[in-house]
Amino acid sequence: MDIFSGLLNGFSIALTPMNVLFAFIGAVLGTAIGVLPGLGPAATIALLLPATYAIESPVTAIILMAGIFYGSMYGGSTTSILLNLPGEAASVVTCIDGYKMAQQGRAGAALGIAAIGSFVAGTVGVIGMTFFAPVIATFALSFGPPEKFSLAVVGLLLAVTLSGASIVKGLIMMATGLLLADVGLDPISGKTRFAFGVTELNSGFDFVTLAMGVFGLGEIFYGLEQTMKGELVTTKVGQVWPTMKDWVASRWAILRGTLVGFFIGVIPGGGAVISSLVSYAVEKRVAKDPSQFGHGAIQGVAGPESANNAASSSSFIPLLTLGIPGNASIAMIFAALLIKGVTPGPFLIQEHPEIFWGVIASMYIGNVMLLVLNLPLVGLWAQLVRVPFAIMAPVIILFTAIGSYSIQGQVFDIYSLVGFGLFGYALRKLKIEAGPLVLAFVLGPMVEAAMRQSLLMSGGDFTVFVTRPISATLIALFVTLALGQAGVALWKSRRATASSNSNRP
Amino acid sequence: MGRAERVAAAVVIGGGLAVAWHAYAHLKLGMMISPGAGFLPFWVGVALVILGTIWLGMSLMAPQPQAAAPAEAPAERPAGHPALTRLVPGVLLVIAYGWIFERAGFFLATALFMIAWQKGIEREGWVKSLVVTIVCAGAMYLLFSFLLKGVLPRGTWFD
Repeated sequence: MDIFSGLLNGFSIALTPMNVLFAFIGAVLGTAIGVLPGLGPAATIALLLPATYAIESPVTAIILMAGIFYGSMYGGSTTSILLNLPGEAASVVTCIDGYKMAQQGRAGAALGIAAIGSFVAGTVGVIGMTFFAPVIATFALSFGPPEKFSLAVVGLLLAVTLSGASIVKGLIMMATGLLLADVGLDPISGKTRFAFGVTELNSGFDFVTLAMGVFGLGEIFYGLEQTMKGELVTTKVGQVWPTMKDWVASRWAILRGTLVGFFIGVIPGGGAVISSLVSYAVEKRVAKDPSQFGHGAIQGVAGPESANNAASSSSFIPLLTLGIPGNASIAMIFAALLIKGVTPGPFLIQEHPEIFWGVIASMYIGNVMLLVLNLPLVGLWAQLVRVPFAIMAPVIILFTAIGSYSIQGQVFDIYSLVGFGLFGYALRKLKIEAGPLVLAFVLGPMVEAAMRQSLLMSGGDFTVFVTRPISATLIALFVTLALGQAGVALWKSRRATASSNSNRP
Repeated sequence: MGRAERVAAAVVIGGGLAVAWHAYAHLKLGMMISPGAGFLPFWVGVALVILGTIWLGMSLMAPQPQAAAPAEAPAERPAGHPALTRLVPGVLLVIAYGWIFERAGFFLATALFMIAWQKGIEREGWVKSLVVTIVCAGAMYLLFSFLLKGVLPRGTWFD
């Protein structure tokens, strides 16, 4: 099936009334979650994972999840601009100039350019995905166990090193995720690991319970310690269609943000947060007058908002072609596919073309829906932040508890959920990213199986991972990237020391 | 944060040691050509010990935050710390919900949880608490029973 007939087939699937409805539900939920501070896209998708059991078609389930993911990127800008309150991490940088624009009476222009930039970038990202993904999937067909092992480990390590957080803490999370994935029956030897006589643990921890606990319940436990109150939106939104001057000022920023976001989104660990930060830095660097940044420069909104949407589209590429989720939200979608009996990876395009092309086609439709939802209804979305925590918290707790119980009908899962919730709370308190834990938990079984198969293939020779060309290239690429990152960090620290020394009287 | 980090690092080291020992002694490492069930957990445990030690070292070497002036501390401290007045009761309520869920059944357990939350943690009035309870319990039942086709317990106490 070539790209165009595949895409045509995808549209015929995505345009069925049921799939359009679920794309719409995903877009609405995603926008709402993006607007509400606290719950991010990963937590929301985690909360909705039990729903995937009830949705019969895997395409429909993934269309819903994907809609939430890219919808949250659209919604995140609204509260950043109107309230200086980022709804999710990728919109933090939008606060800087977006809120200043709102204070200057230009909230409408900022919201309008954010929505249009998001639409352009999201659509370009999907077009890029349409053409690149099948090529990468074809290439990945030649991967054997050593390549799969190297790819998964390098993907995990990249997610740890590029996340911007502490590398040591990220590696600890990665190791913990691998250990949690080991709980239960070992598929090769048949031995039970770390169950300690608890029969419910023989089948291991359920991903849905783990994800809902660490992201959903952990967030609520953390919120209980804070004093959260609904804030009233008093900023006048005004005309949301940007003026010609705004267009001229932001068109290149949108294009640059799109390119930056697309390429960063493909790299595991890259994702929407880093792409928006990099895009802001790029815009500031290329600006004729960088002093405008931080005082309401429209490029400071257009670039990052475009970048995070392009990244959210392109982060589907490693998932659908290599079976490697690059960030926590994509790991949830990976889990949803596994729940539906579909293994993401290079065979997906051949074995389940309806899922591959259906999801891509739904993203084109979803982007149009989001533009229509976001431009005229922006004022309405902003009012969502008034939902009191007193109602939101117990509702989410009930949702996660009943959701985890309903998977296997056992109360043990509610207790596991509380345990993971407390673990997620501790991670928030210690400022540790939970992303690597979830990624390692999802990839753990594949990493272990690929490692054991590789050692069996090579007669117990560990050099198999560096003597096979693709595996060796992947490892070399990671080493180069890690060394480059360490070099940049060293150069920055030396420059900072030198400048502080020169400023000293 | 410094003390919490040191405790967390010590937990990581202890956990790593326990995992490595359990994997070595009970799960067995196997041979290089055919690694056993304990091979990966053993090395992950060892990695946790090394990483935990690095973390502990880093938190010990990090500059300690300066203690607040004694005169200011009592004035800034709230009457009840939210961890004790909200977090601990909140966690206990969820555990109690799990305990009562199959015994009392979905409706009664959910209603009791919501009432206890609204009155005990949020200190809301009776009318608002009852309205929120009825709406939430009804919405959850509709969602999980009708839309998601889940099986919710009716309660063993009433059998």
